Amino acid sequence: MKKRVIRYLGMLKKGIIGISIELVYPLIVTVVAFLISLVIFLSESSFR
Amino acid sequence: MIPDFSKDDITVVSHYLGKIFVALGIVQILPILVGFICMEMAAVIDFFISIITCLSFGSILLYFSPLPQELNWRQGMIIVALSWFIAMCVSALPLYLSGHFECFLDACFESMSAYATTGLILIQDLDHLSHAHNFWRHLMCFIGGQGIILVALVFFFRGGDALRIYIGEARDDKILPNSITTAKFIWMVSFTYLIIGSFLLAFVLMFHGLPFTRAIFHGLCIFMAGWDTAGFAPQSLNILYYHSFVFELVTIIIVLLGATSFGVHYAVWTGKYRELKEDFEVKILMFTIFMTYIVVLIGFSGNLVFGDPVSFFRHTFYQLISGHTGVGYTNIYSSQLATWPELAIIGVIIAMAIGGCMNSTAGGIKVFRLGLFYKSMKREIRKLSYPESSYIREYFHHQREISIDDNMVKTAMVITICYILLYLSGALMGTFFGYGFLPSLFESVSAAANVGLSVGITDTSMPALMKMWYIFEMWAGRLEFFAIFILIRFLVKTVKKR
Amino acid sequence: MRIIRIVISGMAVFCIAGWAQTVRALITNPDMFDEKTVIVEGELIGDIFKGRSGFWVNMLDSGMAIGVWFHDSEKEKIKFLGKYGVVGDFVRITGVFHKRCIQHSGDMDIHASTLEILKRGTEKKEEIPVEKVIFAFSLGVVSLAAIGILHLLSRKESLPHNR
Repeated sequence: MKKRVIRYLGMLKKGIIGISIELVYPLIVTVVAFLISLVIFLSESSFR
Repeated sequence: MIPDFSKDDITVVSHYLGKIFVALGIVQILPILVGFICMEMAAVIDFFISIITCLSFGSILLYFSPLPQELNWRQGMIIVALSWFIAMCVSALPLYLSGHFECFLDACFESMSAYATTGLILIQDLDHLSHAHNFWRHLMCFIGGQGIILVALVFFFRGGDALRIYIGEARDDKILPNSITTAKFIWMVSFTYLIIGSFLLAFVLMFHGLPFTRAIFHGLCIFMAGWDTAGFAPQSLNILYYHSFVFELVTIIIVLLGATSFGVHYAVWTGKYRELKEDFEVKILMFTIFMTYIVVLIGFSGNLVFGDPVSFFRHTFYQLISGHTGVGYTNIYSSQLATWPELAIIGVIIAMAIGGCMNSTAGGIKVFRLGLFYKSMKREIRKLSYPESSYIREYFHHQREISIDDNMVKTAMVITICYILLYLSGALMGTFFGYGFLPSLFESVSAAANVGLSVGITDTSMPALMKMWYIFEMWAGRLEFFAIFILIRFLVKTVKKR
Repeated sequence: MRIIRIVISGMAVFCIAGWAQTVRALITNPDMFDEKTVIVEGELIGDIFKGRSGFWVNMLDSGMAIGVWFHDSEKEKIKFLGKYGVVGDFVRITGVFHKRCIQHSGDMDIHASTLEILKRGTEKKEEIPVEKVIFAFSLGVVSLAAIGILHLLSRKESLPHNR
């Protein structure tokens, strides 16, 4: 059991950069989507 | 000559079903613990009844069908299909006993919706449901998203047999050479994110003034349903309950990670960060998200009902991403969604129909298959424009460079057509019962692609036949048809023999 | 004709606005009540969510809930929030209904101006139906017995000298 936990922690240590990258990538998607919606919103409201 | 189904098949199937029964019984100890912690004795009794039922059915089956031989593929498929059905019936028992459902069918609908990670609900007065039952609803989402077999795998299945059943659950992407290590990796990723995600959510809720225990409970529930793209929430208002934009952002992170394939998770975790940029499935996912989002946005043009860009973004993107990843969380009322412009609704329907990545927890046709069609179409066009004698190959990057072959495209095509037929069948049934075609299509796609967004059709007053059909859609959609087809063939053959 | 219709519907809205609305009516006909003062009655449920210079509580009525935004000064009045085993305070709220609230980035909500407690909530004692307990107990006994018998039978079968 102890061995398993140590192995898991070792894996986590290696994966920590990966995890943080993975946590950031949805945010990038969200920001890009926001920009798209902003462009459409502004063009819509200026056309009125 | 196709071998007929024999008595051995039945013995093997019932042996493994016995094991599934026992596993489901063991898992229900968790909500009992929650019941004890929250001092909810009525709930504890409900789960006690359910556990006893599971264990006794399990041991009876195990007694009458001992010694299984090696499993074959066909038996594996039948086991998967049946075990999902049985899990639905058994898990509906404590829900029904809670008294929050009008009939047992509603409880079955709810439990299949949880297991298939759909998120359509029929529960009454959810806001007064006990913590134990509520925890069980979300735990079912987690179990179903990971795969019931994958959960049972933890308790007892041997290596060779495991693979044959595991593939029946629409998880055929072998990340690691053997299925047990793959299963272990999937569990590891899920548990790591379970801890990170629940704490992130709980942290946001504590920032809004919730006490620690309450925040953790909500965080845990929302994570379990979000990561497995089920879309259940502990309160009837779903995500609207929290009135927090930051909370919604965190759920977007969780659901997008949930809809990303475990293969990509594996690559990124082991240091191949570029995989996130290069994997063709992720690329297509991004492409379809933005394309369908633009369709939704254009749908609102000329009909801009939102006062400011933030609320415009918040309400359109959240439904879109929720539909595309198949989670079904929503921050508006279903009656509001029903008043969206038609083009926007169509945009969401397309997003829902496409779904997330293969070998993730998302449902729907899956972007992988879409990408495959795109590549094979490109190949066909190139074939026609080159001299006849030349041999054209087309590659895509999915952990490694893979060349497209016709077999791959054919299988993908069959499954896609099945999905489209399933979507349409539900829409037709909805129209038959007097709902509009577009809302019926929306609801049907939502059920079959395991999304859970609703425009208000899913309700306890819905005809029973439609409830049953939606249950079938969720079941077939989650298992990607083959297991169900083999089960139907098995049943027909058995009846014919009699 | 059109003017008459508008006048009639205007009067209807005026009359309706004077009476307590069901939350369901607000949510299903948001256009009718948008930016108007409404009176709603219902049970406060769940949790209090802090925000800037105010807080959110959700109110349940006619099977549907809606978010209500209060000023911080109202916080002391609220004692019970409905959940399992607790009946929340039953309140009457007068406030402005927003179909898409600009202050809260587009949420459908009510900004409460007054809060009146009609009936104080209570903590319910958990009711456990006796027949359920008896059923659970007898089911437990029967299945334990059955499992025990099966276990014995399977052990007998596996013993070679019994054959």
